[in-house]
Amino acid sequence: MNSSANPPMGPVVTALAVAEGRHLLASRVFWSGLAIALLGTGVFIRSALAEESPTWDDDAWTMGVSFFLAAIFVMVAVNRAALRDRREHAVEQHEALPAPRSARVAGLFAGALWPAAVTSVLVGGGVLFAATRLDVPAVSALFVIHNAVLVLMLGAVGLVLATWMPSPFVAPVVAFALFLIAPGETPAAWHVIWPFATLETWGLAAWHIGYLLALALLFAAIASGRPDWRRGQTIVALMSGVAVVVSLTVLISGVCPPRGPCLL
Amino acid sequence: MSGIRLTGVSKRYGRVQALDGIDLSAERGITGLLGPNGAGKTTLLRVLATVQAPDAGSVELLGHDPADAEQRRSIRRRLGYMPQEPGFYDNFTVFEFVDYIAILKQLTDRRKRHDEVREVLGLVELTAEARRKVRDLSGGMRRRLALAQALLDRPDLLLLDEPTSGLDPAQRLRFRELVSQLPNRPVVLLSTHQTEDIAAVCERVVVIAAGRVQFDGAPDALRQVAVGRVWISDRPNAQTLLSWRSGDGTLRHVGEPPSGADLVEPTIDDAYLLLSGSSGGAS
Amino acid sequence: MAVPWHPLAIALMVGAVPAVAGRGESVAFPTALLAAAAAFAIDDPSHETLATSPTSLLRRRLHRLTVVAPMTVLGWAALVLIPVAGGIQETVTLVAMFAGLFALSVGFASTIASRNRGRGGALGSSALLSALIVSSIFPPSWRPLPMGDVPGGWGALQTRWSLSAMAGMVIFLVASRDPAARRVWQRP
Repeated sequence: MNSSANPPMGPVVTALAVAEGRHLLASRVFWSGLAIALLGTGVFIRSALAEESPTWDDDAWTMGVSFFLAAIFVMVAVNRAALRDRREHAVEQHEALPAPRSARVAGLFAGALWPAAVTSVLVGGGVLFAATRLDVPAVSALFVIHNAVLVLMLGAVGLVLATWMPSPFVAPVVAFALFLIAPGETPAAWHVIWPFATLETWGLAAWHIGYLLALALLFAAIASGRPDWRRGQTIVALMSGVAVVVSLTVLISGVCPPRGPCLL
Repeated sequence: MSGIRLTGVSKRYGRVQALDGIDLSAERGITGLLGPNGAGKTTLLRVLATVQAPDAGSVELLGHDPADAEQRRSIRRRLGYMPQEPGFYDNFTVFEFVDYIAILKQLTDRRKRHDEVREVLGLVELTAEARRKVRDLSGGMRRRLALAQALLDRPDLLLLDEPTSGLDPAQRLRFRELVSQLPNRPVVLLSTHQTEDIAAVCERVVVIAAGRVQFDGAPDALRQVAVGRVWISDRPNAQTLLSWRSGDGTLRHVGEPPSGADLVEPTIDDAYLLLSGSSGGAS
Repeated sequence: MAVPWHPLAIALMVGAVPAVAGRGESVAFPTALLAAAAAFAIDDPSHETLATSPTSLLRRRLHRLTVVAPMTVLGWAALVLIPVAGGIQETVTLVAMFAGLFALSVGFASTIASRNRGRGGALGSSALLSALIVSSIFPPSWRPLPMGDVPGGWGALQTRWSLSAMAGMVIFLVASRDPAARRVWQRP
């Protein structure tokens, strides 16, 4: 039975994270992305086994790109989950529940940790395999963390889109746009978000992780700020915004000059 | 425990005055809400469910003011709401859906929450369907699922909008048993077009028409409104408010008596028809 | 007829970004977005209510497409065809590409809508964009939905997109059969 004092929201967010994470892992959109990631990893493994002198730099990019694509699919999956109430006409009945929308956004954001963990385990497997066959720089181990934070950040993008542009069409459009600026002949376009661009020195790689994490928090704060902004969200948004600017400055000055002009 | 206190509550949608100075209070027990389509019942329930603020008037629910964010949260923790058109997550199982709502109701202890979910699913006889996807449920089962989520955590204020529409007769009777035997005897507001349900379970009935309270009293007192105004005869009469042919071939008239007609005992339907004013209003 | 217009509006706005940003040669992006937006034309909120109407499911869907298609084609012509097309080969290829993407989009959406209470736009458009991503994983000579140059030049591009258009139409027709109709293999 109820007591009169309102309990804190932390346990609600934790319980939501577990429930949402399970549903994200079961979603067909996530599995589609995972299939692409596994395909890319398969291509990488095949080339690593087939070539006479395979190298990490030349061959591992297929795995990196495919996991980036998987992260984009997570963004769409999170977006679909966040739009569930609108899609199923359940907005009104959930407004009558005590957990505010910000708690649900936080729960879904934390739920994205599940696909982040699963894909990172696979990335870890790929890196370990590579280490048995190729000369893999030690700093490449950070790719596992990069991938997790990238998934989390793109999940937060899915949340922002669902909150501020609540149309089921927006996330696929953004996903496709991200895909079209994929690395290839002009990898500079992805420098700012793609892990491989900075996986050369420990310092830059660490800054990149911090940058992606700050972006994730910034997007999550913006996503939870509707319908009403609260002080906590403002503080998180401001702090993460500052962190984004600082880390981006370091990254641009550290990565872009040797590689030519950056798009972002 | 304080129940519901509404004073001079008004709500307007554009040119439509949905609620027009409603005064209403309710304590523990079941209050039925009757009224024609568009009378303002759903708007009233939405105000009580804290999903909508009135344009004017004051609202006090369970001793709290829903206009204040913290107090609103306190109300919502003790509130069960079954909207007229509930939404479901079709790709969740029945158990997962109710469990999800239970989390949002701040039942965070996993074991207790799952016990609670199992209990409410048992109350609405959906235990056997717990592992089925919501998309595979029949209309009546979905209705019961909506009722189950409203019953979570034994709410002190239970708002039910058309809970028995789509239920088969046995389920309707089961609903009456369930709602009349809720263990903590909450404040229940039951909006329905089923006057039999009102007569069967409500201690009190409120009739709303054109956004105003037209009647507030016991179901039997509502029936008394029509005493002396319901007749049967074997001939039609254009003067009556409404008349229809019964199964035994006689015509039942509500309103002015036709010549040679015999007075009969009224029902709540008859009284409701007279209060709502016209046959059109009772559509 | 309640046709959701916002996907088309989004596709037009976002599809115009490359042109506004000075990358006017971009063809695949606006074409794919506009075709994907057309999937939402299949979404029918009155699907259940109209299921018993004498107008067949196919005809109802064609009515909806008739409303949306002209605006989509106009938008595509303004964003892609007029600014980009040069010679006849290029124009034919662009038209084939748009027709292929449009037909596949509508075909995917119809298939999903038939199993999802009349709603197939969101998943149909996602399926189309995912198909483009998956297609690009293959080597150019094997890409079923090529968004750039392939061995064989214009002819190969036209052939592949024409086949895609036909495949999309077949999927649309099969998915728009009346649900109560007896299946071909069940006919006496």
